[in-house]
Amino acid sequence: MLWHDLRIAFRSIRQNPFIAVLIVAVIAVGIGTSVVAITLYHTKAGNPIWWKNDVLFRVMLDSRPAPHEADVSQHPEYPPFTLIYRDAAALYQSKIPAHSALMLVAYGPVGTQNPASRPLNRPGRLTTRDFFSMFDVPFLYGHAWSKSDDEGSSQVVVISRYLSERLFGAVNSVGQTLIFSGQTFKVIGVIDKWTPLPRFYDVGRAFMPSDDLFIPFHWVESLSNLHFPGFCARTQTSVTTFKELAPSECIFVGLWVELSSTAQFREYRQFLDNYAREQQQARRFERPLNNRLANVSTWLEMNDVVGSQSKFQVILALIFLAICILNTLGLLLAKFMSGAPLAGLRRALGATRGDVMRQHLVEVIVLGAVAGAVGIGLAILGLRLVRIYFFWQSNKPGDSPEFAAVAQSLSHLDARMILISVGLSLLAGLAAGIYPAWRIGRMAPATFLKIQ
Amino acid sequence: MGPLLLAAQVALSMVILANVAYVVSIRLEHTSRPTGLDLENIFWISSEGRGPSYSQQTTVQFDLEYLNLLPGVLAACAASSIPQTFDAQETTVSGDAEFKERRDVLLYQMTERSIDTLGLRLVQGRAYLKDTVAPAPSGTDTGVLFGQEVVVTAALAGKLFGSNEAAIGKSLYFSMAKGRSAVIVGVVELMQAAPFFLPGTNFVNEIVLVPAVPSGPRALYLVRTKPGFRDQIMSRVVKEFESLQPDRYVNAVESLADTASEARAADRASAVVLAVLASFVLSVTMLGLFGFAAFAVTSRTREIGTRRAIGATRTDILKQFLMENWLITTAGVIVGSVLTLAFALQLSMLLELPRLPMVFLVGSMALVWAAGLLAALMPALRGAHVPPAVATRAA
Repeated sequence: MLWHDLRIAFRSIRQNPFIAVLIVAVIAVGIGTSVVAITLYHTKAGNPIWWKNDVLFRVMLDSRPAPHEADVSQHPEYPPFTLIYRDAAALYQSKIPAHSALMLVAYGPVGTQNPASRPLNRPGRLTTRDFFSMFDVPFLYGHAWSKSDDEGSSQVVVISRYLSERLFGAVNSVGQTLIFSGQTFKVIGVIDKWTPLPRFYDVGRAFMPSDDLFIPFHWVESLSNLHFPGFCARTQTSVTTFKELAPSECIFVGLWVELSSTAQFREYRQFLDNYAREQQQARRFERPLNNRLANVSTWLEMNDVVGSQSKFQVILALIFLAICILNTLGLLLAKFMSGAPLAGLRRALGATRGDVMRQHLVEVIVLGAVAGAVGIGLAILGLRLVRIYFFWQSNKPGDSPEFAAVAQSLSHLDARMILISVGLSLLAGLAAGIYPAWRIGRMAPATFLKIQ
Repeated sequence: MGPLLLAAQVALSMVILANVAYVVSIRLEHTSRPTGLDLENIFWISSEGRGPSYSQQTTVQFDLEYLNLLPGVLAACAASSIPQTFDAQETTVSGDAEFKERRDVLLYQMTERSIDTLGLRLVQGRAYLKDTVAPAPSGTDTGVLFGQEVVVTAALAGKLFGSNEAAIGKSLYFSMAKGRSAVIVGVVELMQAAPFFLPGTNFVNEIVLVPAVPSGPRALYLVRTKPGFRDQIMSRVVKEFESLQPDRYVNAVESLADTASEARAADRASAVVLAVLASFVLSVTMLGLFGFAAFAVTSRTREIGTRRAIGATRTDILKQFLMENWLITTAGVIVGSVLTLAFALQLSMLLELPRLPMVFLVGSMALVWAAGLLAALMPALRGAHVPPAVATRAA
């Protein structure tokens, strides 16, 4: 029976190939456009560490001075996203979280000991050892540093695969030494390609090239040439060197904790509030208790990582898909109506309503499937164009493969997206096809036979 | 059912066309805003010291002398950040010590000749003098010293003091900390630091230029050349810079025009994407209208023949089909106007834009009407050419 239906469908398509091509083209363009928009959105909106979404938390303390009437920030209810150094250091001491990591990032020159080599200006992240286990960072060679390295027992560094290849070539560089911002560090580990997008742990650099060096936080004091974006709410000034930041009341340090159970979360929450209360009593914190532990998705949302621009584009693309579906509905209606005499003849010869309807539905599904395939092709083409456009606009091809990785994933069609587009085309085909098929099935056969 | 579908299509198309046109026009306005800078003739070069022998002050002094003496160079200065990027320093200033009226501004530390280098137009007062340029204290915020001379843009002068004239000689307070004030000595007409609003701010043209040698180890220079000399001088400087002072290396170099164009890339890209989408929408809708008219003409050939046979002219037939199409489009336009306004309201909240100006609504109405007539014209003409004899033929 299915075979018979398919044969009828193909004959009907052949009879009016122009309309068939139009239908396929319209749905395909609609699907292609939506898939491109959704992919771009998905890359930005995606949670790159969804499997740990409910155990990783960004720690925020409301250390701001009493509100000033001219507070112009968009979300005055949010506590500052970074911490004052002395608070961060105190909170980091807590034994409640399974893991915790302090972090800071700064660009600095990195090179080898060979005086002839040109240093590169790369981002270095000062952090603590739990960073690697918390965020499931894959190692290519070597390993993370030890607890005693956290306290400064040796000057070690973990570097990215990209930096390792740039400095030492495609070899295992563990044991080599490099110079970062005037200090010598021994390579202890090399991480494999790791480009979580958006870079959830540092949303300020959510779509920027990856971190290339990871250095024990301890060494922030000796790396005196690095500059950090510190802001002092009390004096409304910014301060940038660690020497001045460390004793100040300026915010600049990030803190992430891993809390693996509800009990742990509650205990830590209590600890945080107690700490803030102590500071209130000491008159350091002037605002009512407003501490937050944001999980990854909340954190991304607070930082507005997904541009409203891409939301807008997705909405537009979906409206466009709706227009395409309406269009196809009209086309199918016209197509089926022009083939109605044949359907009437079939009915007269004994085909039931269900038969006629099914035959037309099969035709719709065939058209929908072709349109879906063409649509995915169009989406791939569109995404490739986006990538070309990205590089063409950024003027900086290929210096950093991580930059390429950003472009790559911005325009990468993964299995999930293909599934979405197949789903979309099925839905589109059904939405456009059910009514015409039902209508043609319902017609009294005599209506058509009369004219002949 | 057919007409209903078409009207719905027209309505949705209008929603997209009106709103997309509005957003694109805003993007284009952002990217074409005048900067006040001599973009085409400026390049920047950034170097970074390495090793303990490096001294920022001597390096900058030496480099500036070298750059300013190069034939073809109009002026050069050291700066704390590159204009037309988003990494300028933000700070808050006020015209009164109590910080009653305060403005968020962008601040650039620059050595003398900054106004000449950027190609800005001084409209009031004077530039700051060479002997007021002091080394920026390492690490601290603005590097503004008490009583120092600064230059501001007219946009900022107007906001704080009402006019350019009134701003000259006034104190500019940099923080609520005591004594942190400078004196305004000059006002420049315009400096647009970045092409459009930085996220959450709206002050990209309220700027303070502070006389200071930015702290190291990065040294950034802006160089303005005579027209036509830029690329030539740029490659010469890159070649000579490291050998002049071997304890530093060149980080990056780029023409300011390229930097500015990169800063506009995102806006331009989104404008292109949206324009492509809008053109798809328009063509699909026109296709629908065309298809409907063509189907109507084909299935009603006999009716046309009959009408022609009993005296209807070709123009009558043409009018009939165009009118049918026009009615559908108009129904779509009426519904579409309501939807467009509703969608625009959501949009203005999502993208934080002012309300949709009526011109976009009216424009998209006109566009949809014109597109509808155009799409129906060919089938309608075909219908008009059906000979009356058709009526007499058997089906």
